[in-house]
Amino acid sequence: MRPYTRLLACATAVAVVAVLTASTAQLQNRSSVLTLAAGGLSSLSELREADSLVDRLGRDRVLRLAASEDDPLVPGRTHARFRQYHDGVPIFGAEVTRQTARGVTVSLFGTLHLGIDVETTPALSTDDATRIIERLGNVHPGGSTPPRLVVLPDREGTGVYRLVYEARAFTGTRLMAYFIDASTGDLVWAYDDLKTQQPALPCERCAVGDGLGVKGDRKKISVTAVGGTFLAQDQLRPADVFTFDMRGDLLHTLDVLDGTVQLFDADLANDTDNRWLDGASVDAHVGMGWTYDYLYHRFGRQGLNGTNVRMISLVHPVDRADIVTAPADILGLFYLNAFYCGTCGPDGVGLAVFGEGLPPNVPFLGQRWNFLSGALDIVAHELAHAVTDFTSALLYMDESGALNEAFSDVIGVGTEYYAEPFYRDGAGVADYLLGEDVIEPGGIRSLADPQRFGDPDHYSLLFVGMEDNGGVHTNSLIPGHAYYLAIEGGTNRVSGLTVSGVGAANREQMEKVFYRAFTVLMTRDADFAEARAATIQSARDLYGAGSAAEQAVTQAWTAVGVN
Amino acid sequence: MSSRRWRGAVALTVGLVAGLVGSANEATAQPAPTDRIAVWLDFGWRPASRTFASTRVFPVFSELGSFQASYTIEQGGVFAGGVSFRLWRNLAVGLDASSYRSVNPAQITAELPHPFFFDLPRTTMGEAGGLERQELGIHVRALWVIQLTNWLVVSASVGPSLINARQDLVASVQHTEVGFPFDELIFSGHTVSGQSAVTAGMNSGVDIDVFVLDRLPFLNRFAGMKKVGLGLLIRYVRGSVDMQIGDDLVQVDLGGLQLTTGLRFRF
Repeated sequence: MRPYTRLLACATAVAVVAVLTASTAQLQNRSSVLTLAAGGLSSLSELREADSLVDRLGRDRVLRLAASEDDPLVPGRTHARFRQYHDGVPIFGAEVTRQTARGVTVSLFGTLHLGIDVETTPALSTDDATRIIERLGNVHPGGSTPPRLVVLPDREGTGVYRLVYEARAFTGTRLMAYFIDASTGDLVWAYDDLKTQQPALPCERCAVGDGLGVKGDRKKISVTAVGGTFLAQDQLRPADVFTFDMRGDLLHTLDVLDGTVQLFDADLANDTDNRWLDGASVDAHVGMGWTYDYLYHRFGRQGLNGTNVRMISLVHPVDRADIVTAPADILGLFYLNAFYCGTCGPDGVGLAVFGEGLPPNVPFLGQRWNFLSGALDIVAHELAHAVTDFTSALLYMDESGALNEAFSDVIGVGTEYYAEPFYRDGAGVADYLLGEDVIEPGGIRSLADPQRFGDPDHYSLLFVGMEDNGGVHTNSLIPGHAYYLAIEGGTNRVSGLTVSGVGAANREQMEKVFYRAFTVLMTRDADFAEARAATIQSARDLYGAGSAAEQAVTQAWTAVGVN
Repeated sequence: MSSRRWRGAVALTVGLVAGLVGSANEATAQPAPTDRIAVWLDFGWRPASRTFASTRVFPVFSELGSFQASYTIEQGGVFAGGVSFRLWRNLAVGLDASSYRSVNPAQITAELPHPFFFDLPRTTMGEAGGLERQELGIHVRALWVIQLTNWLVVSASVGPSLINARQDLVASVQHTEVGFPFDELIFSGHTVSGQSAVTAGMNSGVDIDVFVLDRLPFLNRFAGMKKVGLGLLIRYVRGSVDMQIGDDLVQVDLGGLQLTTGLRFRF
């Protein structure tokens, strides 16, 4: 461990430089935790020192390249994502992203843990860990994601590290992430990794059908003709898009989610005359396609993982007729919610589940709940969780979890604006509300006015409780509101600071700024400060230092109290 | 031919005939030919090109796609021949036939709906070549014949025509999708349907005949050469027909200006 003592000293020196340099560059040493947020024109020397550190750690195999991709938005830029290892075991959440231009480092973001002293030979086997998890949650960890060894930093930042097994298992209403001490078998940590819409609660057989959405609006639907019927399988897009109809069978839905049974063609939503009338299926299927299109056209992204992984959704996971007998957790998840399960579905590639809503004559808290797939922003929101999983993998709790949710809201709103011209029959009016098309009146969140739903619009109002994984949904409105202000401009209610947004006509600028920051610059354990630095860096990279975009995003973060 | 055009053609024909007959009194002073029968055989040219267009609409991707084919009927060769009988003084009636054939292209502009979105058509351009146009006309003519000199005869004529037209029409277009995002597609071909129709039209023209062959040294040895001459016919034939292709009607204009020359025989 002695080499890392030297590294720590080096990092401390770099951190001192960082404190003295411009505000957008941060290199902070918290005990043995090194936070990198360096880039731009104002911190060149700091950036070079941090870059040297990353190089040295790379040579020592402490940092290992996990992914590298060319930037589709800024030609000539490349993004590399490094994961930190300790004696060959990955350290949970420890990552660095490095942006380069023709080999020269432009920015570095991430968190490194230096000076770790933990044994990496487990006393327990993988099978032991599996059995413990089965006992804990009465569940079976997904076969595609068996428990794996990781070094887990203490979440309180006390500098304590443990060798643990990490595993995920769908428990019926939750996708639990378990961390089992590899020596004692104790449950060290667990959290719900289910990304929900709101808290608690060219081919031969291709065909184009005509569908009616949840709101009765006409849509084209890309399907597959098999025999005398048409299946909700879109093969026209580079990523196959599947919509499965669970036909209200909750048990079947649960079996599919926990991997007990596989999905077959017979489960696909289908129609005999290619004039689709089931709005939930139509909107889920079309919405996934439009989300793919948005990611492709706006960001040059090839699907959820960047390489056109299949896109899968489940509709009608429960039957509305069963609502009277449904337990509260089922009601909250499968009726009044939508979620993305990153390890569910065929081959564990993930799938989105869209809630059934409520019968028209049964309001909930004064709102009518229709099929949740009927809201494109909800569909795109859930799929954006997959994008996050495949990129920054923002940890789904506390501030990183709120950023995870905020990014999904940003993509949800962006997709809604992108698709607005494609709607017919008066449907699909774009706005900054989430879910307003099916949860009426009003939706469930507002990026323009978070207070409308009791969500914080300033960092001083940050929810600090344990519920909802540390308030990931409610706190997401702080960055979400910053996104709104950066586009539309306006004055923050709490700070009174006014933001000159880039304007709705330049919405695309801010969409790219946030997308790029959240997918290639930010790291798994990012906090709001890192998000601020990364989006500013992104704006500089895309539109230049001092650009209107950089000014807008800087002012927006400041206005919501994130500095 | 539409009823309006037909009425116009009839009115023009009646007007011309009335003009000719009305001038008969004055024409009594005009020298009339002595021959009763005239036969002629011509070849020549239809110099002016003309255009027409067809539009077809078809369902695709839950919307209506369409293509428009713009046809240009180029100049082409004409063969004609006929006979006329002098009835009274300068007035004669004739019956003759003309044949026209050309091979032409059509420019195709298509609008194909997007597979994912309504009201977002994609436009392609293409060309269909080798489209054949044939017109066989039977023309009835009323002629006013003036023998200006013993070797120069001029006649004006007008009358109805019966035209049998055959036209190759673009029946469908084929495209190849480039693939996602389906913003563009490639025009890859077309099918052609040959359509035929018969319609009534009208004709009018002027014929200038010279009979000087018997004065040529190498021909004057033949006794009949006084009855053989050369002529130039300037004639305008007009007609229009609706051709059906699928459920769509295509209005096709027929005829045009004909300049032909050939032999004249009088008996």
